[in-house]
Amino acid sequence: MKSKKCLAVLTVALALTGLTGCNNQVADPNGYTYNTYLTTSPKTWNVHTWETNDESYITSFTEMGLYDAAFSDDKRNQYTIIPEMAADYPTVIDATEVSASDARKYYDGGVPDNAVYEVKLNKAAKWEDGTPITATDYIESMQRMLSPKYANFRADSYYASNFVIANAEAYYKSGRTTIESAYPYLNMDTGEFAPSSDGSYVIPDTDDWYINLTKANGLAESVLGDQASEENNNLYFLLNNLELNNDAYTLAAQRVVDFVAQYLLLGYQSKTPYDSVSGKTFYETYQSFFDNHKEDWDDAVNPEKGNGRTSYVSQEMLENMPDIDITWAFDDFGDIYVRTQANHSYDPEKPATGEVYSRELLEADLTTWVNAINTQSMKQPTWAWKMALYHEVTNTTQVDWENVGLVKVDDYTLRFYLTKSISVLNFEFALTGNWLVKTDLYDKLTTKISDESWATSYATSSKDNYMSYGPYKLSAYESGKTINLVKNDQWYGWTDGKHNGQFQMTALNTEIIQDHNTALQKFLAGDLDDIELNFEDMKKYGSSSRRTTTPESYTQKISFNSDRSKLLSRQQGANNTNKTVLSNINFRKGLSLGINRTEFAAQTTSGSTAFTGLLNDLYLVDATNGATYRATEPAKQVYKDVYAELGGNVTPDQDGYTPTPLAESSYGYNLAMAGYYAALGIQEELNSEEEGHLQRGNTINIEFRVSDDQSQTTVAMHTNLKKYFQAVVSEANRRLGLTGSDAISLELTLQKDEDYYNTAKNGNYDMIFSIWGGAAINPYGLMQVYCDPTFASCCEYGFKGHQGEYMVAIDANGNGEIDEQTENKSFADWYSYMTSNSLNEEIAEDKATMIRICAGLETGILERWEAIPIVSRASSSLTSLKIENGTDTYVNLIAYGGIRYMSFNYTNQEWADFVKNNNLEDLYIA
Amino acid sequence: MRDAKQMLKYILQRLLLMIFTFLVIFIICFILIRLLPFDQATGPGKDPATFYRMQVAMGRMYEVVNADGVKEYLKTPILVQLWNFFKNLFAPPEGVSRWGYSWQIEWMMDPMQLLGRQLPPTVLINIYSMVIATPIGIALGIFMALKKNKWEDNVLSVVIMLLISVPSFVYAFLLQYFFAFKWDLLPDIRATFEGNWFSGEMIASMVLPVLAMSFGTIAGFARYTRAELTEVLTSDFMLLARTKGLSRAQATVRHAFRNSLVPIFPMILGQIISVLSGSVVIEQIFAVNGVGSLFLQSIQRRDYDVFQFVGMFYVLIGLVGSLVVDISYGIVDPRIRMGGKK
Repeated sequence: MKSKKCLAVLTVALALTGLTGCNNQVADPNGYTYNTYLTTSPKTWNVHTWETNDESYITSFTEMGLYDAAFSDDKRNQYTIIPEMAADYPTVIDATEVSASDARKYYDGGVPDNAVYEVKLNKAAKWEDGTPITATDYIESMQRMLSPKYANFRADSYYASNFVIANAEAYYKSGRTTIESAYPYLNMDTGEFAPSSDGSYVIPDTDDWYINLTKANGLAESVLGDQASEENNNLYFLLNNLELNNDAYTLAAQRVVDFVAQYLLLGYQSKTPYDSVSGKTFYETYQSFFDNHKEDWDDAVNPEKGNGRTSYVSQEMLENMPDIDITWAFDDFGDIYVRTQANHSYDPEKPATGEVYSRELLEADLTTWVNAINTQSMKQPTWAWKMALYHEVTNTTQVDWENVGLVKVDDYTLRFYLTKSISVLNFEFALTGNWLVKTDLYDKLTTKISDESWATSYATSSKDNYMSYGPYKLSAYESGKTINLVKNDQWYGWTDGKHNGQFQMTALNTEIIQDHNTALQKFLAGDLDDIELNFEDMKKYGSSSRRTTTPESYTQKISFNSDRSKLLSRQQGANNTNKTVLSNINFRKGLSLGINRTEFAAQTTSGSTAFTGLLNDLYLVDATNGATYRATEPAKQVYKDVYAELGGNVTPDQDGYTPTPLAESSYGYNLAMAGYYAALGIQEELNSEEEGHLQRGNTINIEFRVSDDQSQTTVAMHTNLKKYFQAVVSEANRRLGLTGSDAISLELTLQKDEDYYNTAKNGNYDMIFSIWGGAAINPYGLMQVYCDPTFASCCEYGFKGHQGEYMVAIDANGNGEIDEQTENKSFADWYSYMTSNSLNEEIAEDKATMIRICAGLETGILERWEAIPIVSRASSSLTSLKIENGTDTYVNLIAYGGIRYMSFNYTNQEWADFVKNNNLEDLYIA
Repeated sequence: MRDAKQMLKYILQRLLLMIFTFLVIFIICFILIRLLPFDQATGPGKDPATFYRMQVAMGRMYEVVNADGVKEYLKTPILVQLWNFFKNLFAPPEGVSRWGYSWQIEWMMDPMQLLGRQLPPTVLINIYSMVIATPIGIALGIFMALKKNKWEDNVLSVVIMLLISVPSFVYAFLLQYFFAFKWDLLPDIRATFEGNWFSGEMIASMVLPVLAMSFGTIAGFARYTRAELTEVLTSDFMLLARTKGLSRAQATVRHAFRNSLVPIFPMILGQIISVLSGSVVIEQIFAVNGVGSLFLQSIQRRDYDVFQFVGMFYVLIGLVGSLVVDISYGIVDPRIRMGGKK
């Protein structure tokens, strides 16, 4: 008996020893394995259906585009486009070389320039099983991508952007009923649907009309013309952004939005939890909005105080908004109320402020509004409401695949017939992604969901459901747990001599780890090679030499309300409190100069950097080589101009003052000057005779509206800003000799407001954080938010709407002088000129002019001190000592070089030994 | 014989009641879930066809061809959807999953398959935890009862109160920090499945989550056993047993412990049934990827079919569990009559 017990104990001991031993094995000791993690598991990685970044994660290693971005030289600070799955750069086929039959088939006759391209394929490209990849694979893959039966999510990449394959959309929609903007289908004389001239569509005979404020809309595109973009070609933009200057039109627009908002409120109140994590319903979100705008809601019916809100529907609600069948909407939810006066809100307790809405009233409002904005038509038709709505369209024509403009010329040549002209560079950009799938496997995994609808589980759930053709292939896939990749021996890049020194990694192990702390501990134990840092981690690892910052094209700035009348109405009723001082430019300038941006970035963000401009380092002025706007001379001059005389400790009111520029390393921080300007502003306000001006002993109460007043980041940011602002006011008091009960104090109070952008848009705020950014290749377009008086989302109330009045002088021709006749224009006029067709970015001198205007506008906006940039947004991560990035400079499109340029300092065995003998935590803190 | 008959009748009644309860809960859940809005295809890059296809596949919409030969998609009334669901359940169209599809967690995967895939790690961790925790907990409880109000009992009581009071994820963090990261004795997260759930590497990687799951159970059993046994030990029949000449050990094991098992045994049964349920927090910390995570994800990602399937799976477990526990009372203590009437 005793011996049995001993044996059992021994067995357990041996087992435990064995188990712990397992932990120390090193797989492929001489290999270079990169270990990383994801927080969520991709539901698929099919290139035809992927939606989120996680879903494109696997294919970024296992697939390759026809073209790809690579460093252009040894300095590794610029990119260039190189052929990968293509054998060479694309060839533009001259329109005259297109045969008459092809011209008819793809273009109804006229072939545009730069619309036909030919691409030679890389003959060495193979699937991971060794099968060569030929033009047939591309054609058949695209056929499945655009197949109406699969209705793939990514199909619109080939017809809805600037890369439009001829007849791709018609093929994709053929035989299917889709809800489309009615505008292009209407006969503008009769208001009836125009029959299709070629029988390509039929409009179902139904009275079902749909409204959707956020979908692409033909009316919006027609009104906006060349200015229509993916972001603004919808009704919501039009309803909110066109200044109609007429109460009837404005009211009509507002009532349409009211209807949608009420519909959503009623619908979601009874139906859905909006966010399962927070447990908030749309109704609660909506309620909290009203709670936070009580004053607005109460004042709304008072003509003396009307705050003029244009809508109370939040962006979040709209983004989830379905196509609303308007008849069904009215039938389904009973009474829907809308306001009866422009710029006033409906108050349930005051019946005259609202009325029950109906489909007839909606049609009438839409007619009023559409006729007001539709500058294309002088007829003022009674059916104009149809132009704003959507209707079902049945695309009856069965477009044959043969009519789609992707053609196999020979086994290794593809020809693209594109509907729109496109530059060579943009053509190459569009083909940095790929659509290839292994079609036999794709078909095998297809399930017939209904008679006309198929779905495939290709690239889902298992490595056996997928075939790679890039540098790596899947070796193991456990959904929700592990994704392992190893080198794909069949990849052409290992032997073609063009990828020497690239793709050193031999294996990639990815764990799905949701818990940040677990991931961090694994990183510190040497089991992971990167870790995303959060705000808390930054305290410990913020100064680590292994920290990598990935910039984003967004600037985080303070937006002050500078409108005196709004501020006056906001301070009324509160004793001894003042807000109107914010309308004083010197006071705002003082506050800005008091912000220690470097400290702010270090203490409250995870990687953002101190910044004083509107457009950060990511904005490009030359997409061909990645040259940035910020590196241009006019852009560099912005800081020098704005802070030209704001340096030094001796201020203008003191002896020995000489104008000194503020060092760039100060990032706009100079407490001495801050105190001087704040004192100047306070003195001016104390001396003012305007109603509600600042008085001795007042407390300046700045309400800081944020979406989440509890988050650690917001609290930290608030604490820092409060400290800076109070220091500025304290310095101003000292300079003015205000002490005791005469002293001015400042309070910065956090106010939760989930809809704070809309609040700011209407001027019911003192200060918010506004974060703006846009397409990195279009710095000029981003200036619209500041310069276009019709752009309603401008957050600087007081400046907003006045851009056509405020003047700014810009040396646009660069001759060093300002020509008062031609170079002194309003912000709106400069913006309009900069983005107009009269300047062509392709012409060097025009581009230089555009850059100078852009920089001039940036300077002009910053010198108003309403928009106060603080940081350029970025995220931070630590990379392990095992690896080195390809470059220390962030380069657009390539970032730090990615896996292509990553090099390894240790083999797997060497790394295991290194980890055993070193305390990584100490090394990473340093 | 009469008792057995009565027992069978009782079980049958309970089974029918269970099925009825399950159906009621199922129908309520089904209707509530179907009342949630569709994840409508709107905005750039979304196509209504994808949306319609998913809705048709889920039985929430149906296709009709109108007089013009045009296909239309209509909202299916909820009761019709319910009928379709049952019809699909028993006679699904060829190649179509009878349980619907996951569209958000794992594209087009059958929820049954999804649950089946994530059950093994959860079940294993729970079984290991139960096998370890139950005997230790009961043994500790007996020891404490026998040492009632002595220093051993007091010390253990304090420890057990601590174990009960502190949430399991706190032990999880501490265990992971010390055993995995600080001392490098055990794996920090669950190992990757490579075809064998019982490989050394896999078992080792489950040690820490098992321990984290066990502490609370040990404390629960110990406290309960102690309380029950203490009460039985002070009963009159125990005095009689001792007077009859039984030793303390004999009296405790044969009489006291058996009697105290009446309320404890159902606890053990409940524990067995709960092996199918996962702990969301423990699974997250140790990257277990079990059913707890699945349930949470199905809610977060609005994967309604998965949510409904997993939710009903738990309802079923709960109902079966309560039935088994109720029946077990009669088996453990024959004095308890099932279905008896006055």
